[in-house]
Amino acid sequence: MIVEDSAPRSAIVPLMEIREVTKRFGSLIAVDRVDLDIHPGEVHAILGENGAGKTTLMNLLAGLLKPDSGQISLDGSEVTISSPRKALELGIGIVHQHFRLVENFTAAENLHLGWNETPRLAGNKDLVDRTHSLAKQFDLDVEPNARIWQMSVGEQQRVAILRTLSRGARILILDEPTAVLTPTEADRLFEMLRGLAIGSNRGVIFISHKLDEVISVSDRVTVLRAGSRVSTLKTVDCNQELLAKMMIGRHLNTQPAPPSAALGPAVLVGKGISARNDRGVPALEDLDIELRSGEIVGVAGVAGNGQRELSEVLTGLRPVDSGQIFMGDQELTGAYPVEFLRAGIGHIPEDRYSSGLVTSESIDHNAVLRAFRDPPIRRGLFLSPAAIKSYARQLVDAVKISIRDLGSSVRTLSGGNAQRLLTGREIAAASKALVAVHPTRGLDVGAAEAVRQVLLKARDSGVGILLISEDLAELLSLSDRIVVIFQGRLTGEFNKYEYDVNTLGLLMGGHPAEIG
Amino acid sequence: MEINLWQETLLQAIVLGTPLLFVASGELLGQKVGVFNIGIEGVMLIGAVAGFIGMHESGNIAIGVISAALGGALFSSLFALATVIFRANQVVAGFALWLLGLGLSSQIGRSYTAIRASSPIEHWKIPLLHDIPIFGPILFEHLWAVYLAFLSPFVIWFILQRTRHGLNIRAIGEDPAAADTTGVAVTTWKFLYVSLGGGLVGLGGAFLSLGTSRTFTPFMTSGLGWIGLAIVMFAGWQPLRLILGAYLFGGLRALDFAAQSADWNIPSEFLTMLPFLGTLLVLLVSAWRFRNRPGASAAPAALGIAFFRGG
Amino acid sequence: MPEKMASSKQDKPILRLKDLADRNFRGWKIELRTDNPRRWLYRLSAILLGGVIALIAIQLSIGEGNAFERILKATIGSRKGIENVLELAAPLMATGLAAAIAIKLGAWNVGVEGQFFMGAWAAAGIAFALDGLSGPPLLILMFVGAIGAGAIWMLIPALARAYLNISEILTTLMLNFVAMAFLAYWATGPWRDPRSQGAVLATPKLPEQTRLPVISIAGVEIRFGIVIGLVLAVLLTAIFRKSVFGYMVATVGASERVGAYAGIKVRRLLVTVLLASGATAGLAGVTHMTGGAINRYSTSLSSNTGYTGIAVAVLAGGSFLGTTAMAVIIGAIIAAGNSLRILGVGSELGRFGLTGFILLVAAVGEGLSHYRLVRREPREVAGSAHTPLSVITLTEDTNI
Repeated sequence: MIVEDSAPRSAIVPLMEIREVTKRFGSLIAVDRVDLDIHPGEVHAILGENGAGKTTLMNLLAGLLKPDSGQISLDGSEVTISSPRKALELGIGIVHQHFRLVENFTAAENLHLGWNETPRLAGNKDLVDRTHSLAKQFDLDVEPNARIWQMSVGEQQRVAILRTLSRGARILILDEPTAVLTPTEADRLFEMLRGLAIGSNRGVIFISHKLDEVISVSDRVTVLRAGSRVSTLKTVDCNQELLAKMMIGRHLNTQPAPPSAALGPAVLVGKGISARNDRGVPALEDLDIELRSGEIVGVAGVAGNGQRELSEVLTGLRPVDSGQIFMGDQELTGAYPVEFLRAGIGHIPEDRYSSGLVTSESIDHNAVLRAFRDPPIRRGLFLSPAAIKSYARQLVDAVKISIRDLGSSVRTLSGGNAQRLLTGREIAAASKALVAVHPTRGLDVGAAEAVRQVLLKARDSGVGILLISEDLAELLSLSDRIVVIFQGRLTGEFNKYEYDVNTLGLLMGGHPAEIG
Repeated sequence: MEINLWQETLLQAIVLGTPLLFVASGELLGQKVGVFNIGIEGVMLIGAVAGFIGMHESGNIAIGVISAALGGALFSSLFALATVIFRANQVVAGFALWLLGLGLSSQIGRSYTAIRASSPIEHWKIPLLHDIPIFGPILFEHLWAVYLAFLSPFVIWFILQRTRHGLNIRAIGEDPAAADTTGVAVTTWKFLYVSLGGGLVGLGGAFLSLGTSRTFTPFMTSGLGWIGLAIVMFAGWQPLRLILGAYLFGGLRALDFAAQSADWNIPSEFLTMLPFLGTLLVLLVSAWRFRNRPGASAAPAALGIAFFRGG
Repeated sequence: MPEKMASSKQDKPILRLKDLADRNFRGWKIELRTDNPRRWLYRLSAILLGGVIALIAIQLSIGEGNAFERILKATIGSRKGIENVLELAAPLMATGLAAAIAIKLGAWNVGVEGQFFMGAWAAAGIAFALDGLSGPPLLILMFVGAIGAGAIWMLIPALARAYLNISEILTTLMLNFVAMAFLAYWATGPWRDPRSQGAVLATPKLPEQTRLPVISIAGVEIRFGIVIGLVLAVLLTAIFRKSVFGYMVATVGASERVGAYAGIKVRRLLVTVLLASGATAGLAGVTHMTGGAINRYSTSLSSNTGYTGIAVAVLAGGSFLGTTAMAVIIGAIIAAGNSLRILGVGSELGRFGLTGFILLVAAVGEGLSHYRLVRREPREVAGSAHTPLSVITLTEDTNI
């Protein structure tokens, strides 16, 4: 039986008490009368799905938002967190998912930025020396002279944590800290967090939607759902099923989708591809990939290992330094993106708003983004407004979005509907192959499921799909084959029903596979 | 001491480069906090006219120079108000500032145009140093503002690279959101630095009206502000390199003078073009060098982008 | 990945007494918005406001004499005034359109002035060389030459922007100064009119057959440039709204990344559009030279029309038809400024000062349109139907 752990402990004064805190945006209640206690020496996990109110709650504590009602107390006295600076003064330190580090600055510069303990006159050497001693004090491994953009994500995170701790944070809040880490880096982080908390007067708040992490790192866990607190429990009393049920309100479905029915010939093939990222640093090295008709190939990997570059190379958006790209018998190496499109390759880009949709333009403008070159939409040098309208209407109906005015801007669509529109459009364009990057990221459960169904349907009609995702559960469920990408190379390959999550995890972290 | 043509040309390069150095230093201050002001030509003109009136009405050169700096700063704060506080588009507002500066300076300076400066910026011979043969007369017998201009990049460099304040300021231009999170007063400093930069630009204008031409004429800056913008790019946003850029462009302008003295048979219009063509060439060459390294640009990463606190 | 408001469940909010207590004060708050359908309204109000402030300031500073009466007479208050305004507006239409074309891609052609002069230079050269030809063929050649010269003057900035990512603002502007010096060379040297004196340097008058006709409507004489400007604006509107080319420009103008993603050859499009902008500026030059009052190639041909044209296009929000209307308004402002010369106001104040001031106020208005004032009222909490969708729900990158 589960006993809710909310009884007051007379022995310890909580570090922080949150009572009945509420925050609204327009008509939506993002955080609804939430209570929370943080004790010294504990790692307290806040668990919830996307949209459960985790980030809003954290922004309230960070002073980025102000609560509409409710109280926040520190060491027993009520406080108002009016700004991020105030939060820090109070000893609340946040490590955001995006670390908010200045990319072109060194670790030392970032550490000392906006800090009143930085000496007024300080050259680079002073900053570096101070960084060395701070890193030693908190036992964190940080290279003072390295610039942020040169670091791995794990290193960047350590800089962010060191910065927060150096400024006297007693309550350390981490927002989805493992989303961008390899499993090994994540383990290292957990160890570090436990070390920081245990026996100290510090409290750590660990925000996550990953059940296993919550269980392995936290002392207590508070579950949020749709803005409300569901329960607060001791972690030792929990298991994954229980937390999952509380978090989603239903059982976790990890059933794999049915496998590919008819595997066809190779459609999209990359041979020996090398390419560089936006900074000119090699991102793909001698990578071979083959996508066959009627299959979904999942690409597993930690963010920043070349996924973005791979998707851009395979859709013609990024030039290759060496290697070849084929569509069937047709070589596409060095061709314009439009030729990739003509060859029947669709693309669901990583960032739908800045890469895949013209947000300021109308829905029908966006609907024909791939098809405007062909009749009947194109008539000579001009476009047919009637044909555009009917094409857009068909598309919108096919992906089941109810839109009255096709002339309204894409901005008025919800994230889910915008992604459905984009997915529908790309599937229509993808007669042979589709490169889909994080197609369900940031979507709610219903919209994500709809997008997955559309992908499966396209596969069954013979399209080859390259699915790049950070959501391992999604990859395991949808893929007919999974390849692992690490530092711009494919380091492993598994067929459906043959994956072993532990081996996958090791490969994603760069450890050589020991496959039996 | 007898001065020959090439000495005179080098001397002129420094003199003609000085207003550029003021202007580029001022623009750099703004750009370091992420504000791209293309209207500094207008600010320069306001500085020129404000300096001249201040000097003429008071009979005191110090008051003239201070009014030039104040005039430039106030006029730039108008731009800062529009772009930093109201988040107006920086290109449009800068363009407007330029037009406004052209019109306003001509209007204000209407009744001062035919007057010679009664107490202009004087020459300072630096003791001992100006006696050095050959270089002495070129380097150490200048209008005192020349030395001031030469010092300003060093001061800027020191503040930006050697102080806590400078670290915060650089962060504003690189990533205002990150600076904001750590408690740097992004909007305030942006406003102040754009205005402060305007003060330096105003000095650049006053150098013309009180130093070299010693009279105010409408539109007397004739494009120098724009070249100042290019020098900031040429210098790769590094304060000390502004010195090289400014004197190089001053040298191009001095060629016109040299050609006249030496009776070269080149129409002077083609020599007038030189600094502008030179700027164009510099832009092309430096971009060509970085063409395969898009991330390698030295420009502040948030240059030209309005800062909104998220949420 | 930020959690998305819009994707989370739309709970039906319940109105509670406590909420009422929290919200029931007459405070306002400022919110950021990403989309504002009434942006033009902000711009227009700003322009009007700027005009009124400027007028009051001028009246106050000159003290005696009625500035308003003079201005009215010099602009829309008399036939002569209207003719004067339209005469000033004629070159602004074409230069404004040239700038507006570049604005469609988010680019700034600050070089309209230089391209204007290069267009006029090429046309003058053709006219002097082939003055034996009769009017129509000679004019056609001059127009073609001017359009080509304007485009060529834009070639380096266009390629530099597209392939080396060099700001076109600086490159086009530098070429203006080069063009001015180039012009001065021809006007003082090879083509100098021996009779011209003083500061204004000019060539002899162009052959008589190259003069464009003046049209008279209801007794008001209108320069041919107005006709060319209007026809061009309609033509450009049709091309940019209805054609495949226009669709591609709209897409790339909104986002180069999405443009590339859509398979558009972004660089090629950028070069094409910038060259079109330069060509239009060249057209403006020859039109003004053959259809305006000066009728010769001279250093005072432009009166900075190229720069003012950019302001016109910006104030019109980049709309082609709006540009023609705005050209008339700015023409009136310049005429107003000129009319005050007798009261001690220089023509530069009207031409630059007022235009700059109004442009600055308009830029602020545009900036303000990114915000909205939201009244903290209980009604908002109830989520009634007319409450605007919160902006926060519409941006992907806003953490909640």
